Amino acid sequence: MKKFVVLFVILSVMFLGTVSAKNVEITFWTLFSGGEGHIMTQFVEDFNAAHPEITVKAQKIDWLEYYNKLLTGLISGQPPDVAIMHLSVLPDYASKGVLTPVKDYVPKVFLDEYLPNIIERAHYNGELVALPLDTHPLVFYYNKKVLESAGLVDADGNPKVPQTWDEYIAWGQDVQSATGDYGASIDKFGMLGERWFIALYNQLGGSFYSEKAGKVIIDPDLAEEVYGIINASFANEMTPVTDYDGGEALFINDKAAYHLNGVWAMAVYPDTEDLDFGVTQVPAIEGSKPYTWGDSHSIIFPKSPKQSKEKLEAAVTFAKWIVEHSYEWANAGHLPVIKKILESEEFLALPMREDYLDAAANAVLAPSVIGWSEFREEMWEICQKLVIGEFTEEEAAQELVNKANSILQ
Amino acid sequence: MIVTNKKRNNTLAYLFFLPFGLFFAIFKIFPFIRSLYLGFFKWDIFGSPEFIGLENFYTLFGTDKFWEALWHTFYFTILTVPPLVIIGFLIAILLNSKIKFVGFFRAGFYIPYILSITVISLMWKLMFNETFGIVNKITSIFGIESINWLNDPTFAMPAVAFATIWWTLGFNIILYLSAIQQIPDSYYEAATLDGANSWQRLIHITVPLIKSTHILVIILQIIYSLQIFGQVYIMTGGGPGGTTRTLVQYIYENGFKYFKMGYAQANAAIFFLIMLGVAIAQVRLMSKRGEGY
Repeated sequence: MKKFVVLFVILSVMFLGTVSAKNVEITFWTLFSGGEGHIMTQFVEDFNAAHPEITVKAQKIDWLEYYNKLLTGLISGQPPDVAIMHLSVLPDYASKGVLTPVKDYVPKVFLDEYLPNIIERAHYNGELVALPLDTHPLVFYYNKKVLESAGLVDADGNPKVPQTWDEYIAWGQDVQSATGDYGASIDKFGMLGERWFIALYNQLGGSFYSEKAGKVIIDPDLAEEVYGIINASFANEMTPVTDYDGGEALFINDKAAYHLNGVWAMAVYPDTEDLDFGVTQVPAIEGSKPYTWGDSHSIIFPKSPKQSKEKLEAAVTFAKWIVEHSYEWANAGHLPVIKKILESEEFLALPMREDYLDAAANAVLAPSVIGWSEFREEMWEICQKLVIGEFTEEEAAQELVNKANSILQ
Repeated sequence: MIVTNKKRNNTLAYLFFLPFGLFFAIFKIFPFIRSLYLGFFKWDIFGSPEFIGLENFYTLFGTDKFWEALWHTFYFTILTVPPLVIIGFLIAILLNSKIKFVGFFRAGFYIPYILSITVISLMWKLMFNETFGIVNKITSIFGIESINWLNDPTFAMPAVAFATIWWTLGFNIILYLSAIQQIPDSYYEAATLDGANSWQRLIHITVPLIKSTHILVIILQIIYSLQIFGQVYIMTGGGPGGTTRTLVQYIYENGFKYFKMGYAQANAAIFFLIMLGVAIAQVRLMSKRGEGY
């Protein structure tokens, strides 16, 4: 009996030993919650089931705390093996040498499938340090009920959706004077001073990054023109100053006709009761493409003392798997950045995606510069000062140029 | 014999103190000293610190945002300390009387204090919402037009101050109540016999006899108010246009968001000096005046 027990124990240990030796365990940190959170959790489960030799242990971190925690992990030498990062802040981290280059682990044919404007930003100093998962551009929402009750419908009874910013301002003010509802709502932080600004700036023909000078150069006249458009939309009480939740509440509760927000709101709006809305690309300056701001969730591979070739390969396998499944990820409203997925039936079958999928190719991402984290918050603040009347358009433009010169490299 | 006992008592005392002392030294004293030290360096958290002497301080004093943050912090303190002290005192007086259901009222005034900072900030943020908030619904009854409280530079800080007063009043009430309850009844009886009315009893007995409590409450309140961060950050984000950004928020942003840790530490050092000044003032004032009776 004793011999049998001993044999049994030895065999079990051998089996356990063999199984765990082959299985690579990697840790994964994400910042997704709500609808996106569910999809990502499902991804991890599905991947683990499909790949028995790899176990992904996912940790969801509240997005407000996420970068704090990631920073702590990176400094303490205990980062996750794979994590999410916005491409806009990639340079701030890549420049500190904390991200692992992964070009050698990814086949060229995979990289070629990416939209060029997106994959370019996943590089730093010529090295590929991230695999983009999506792009989430700024798009244009409109509330059909509010427009109808303000009489802003065309001859066929369709709500009037502006194609140019002049129309946006004119019709928005019409709504305000007709019913007292707001013409538009927009979040006063990132949406206003950074995202809308970048969309307008590029539509006017500007581009932040000068290849020739190798740094960010902002044209004060162009910036002033942008601020002029923004300021005009806040005149006559067309747009109130609100934060993200406030602006969204106004739109959902039929108190604002137009709404500038990101595609991620599509995770919420289609299922919102009594919300009768449409979505499309942002209006454009006459003669310009409807360039818009975009960022991208990407998958990064933090450097760590306990990193091994095995773990890195497992992490890249996981990342590629998620990217290949990004038509499912698109349920959260984000746009895939793999060309064939963007054109696929599964993706186009999702509600209203057809109306704004072109925004992916028209998305302008933040320039790849260090200091963007700080600079963009200055952008937010300058624009707030503009719309509350503390800066004139000229002063705002000048302040923006000053900040760019002192903060960005 | 006596000497040995004293020595043993001392050793025992030190032993009792050791766990806390160790904890205090590692988690409070060491980071504090290191923080002061780092103020003389440039450090982006990832690399190694680079010594730059007083440069952080020069930059600080030359930056408008720093002075603005300092002023916003002082402004908030001015808005909150007088009401929290005076109203706290008055309510403590009321709660000391033998009115019906006094227990219910005492609990009611204290309950806000046990709510977490995030809860009350989000709550008041909703209530101050221009279109949907209850505050505007109430003011409209009196014919006042809707105010965009948290997005208007004039009203944002007062709104946050109001929420803070609602939240932390309970703490001051408790402090005052316990002090008032220690005043012997005989003083009031004697005064009443001499013909003093309730107003005179308040001014000439209650107020003077708890002088050290006044000082305690005022100084504590000043110190807490100077450290304001959470409510403002959640309710206004420091806006609109940075008009409510406080010093602690400025330190946080520089240190943790913009990777300018050395600069943030220098900032924190200045902040520490201000608070030290306040604390010294308290110690001086409290040692001058003992209890009046």
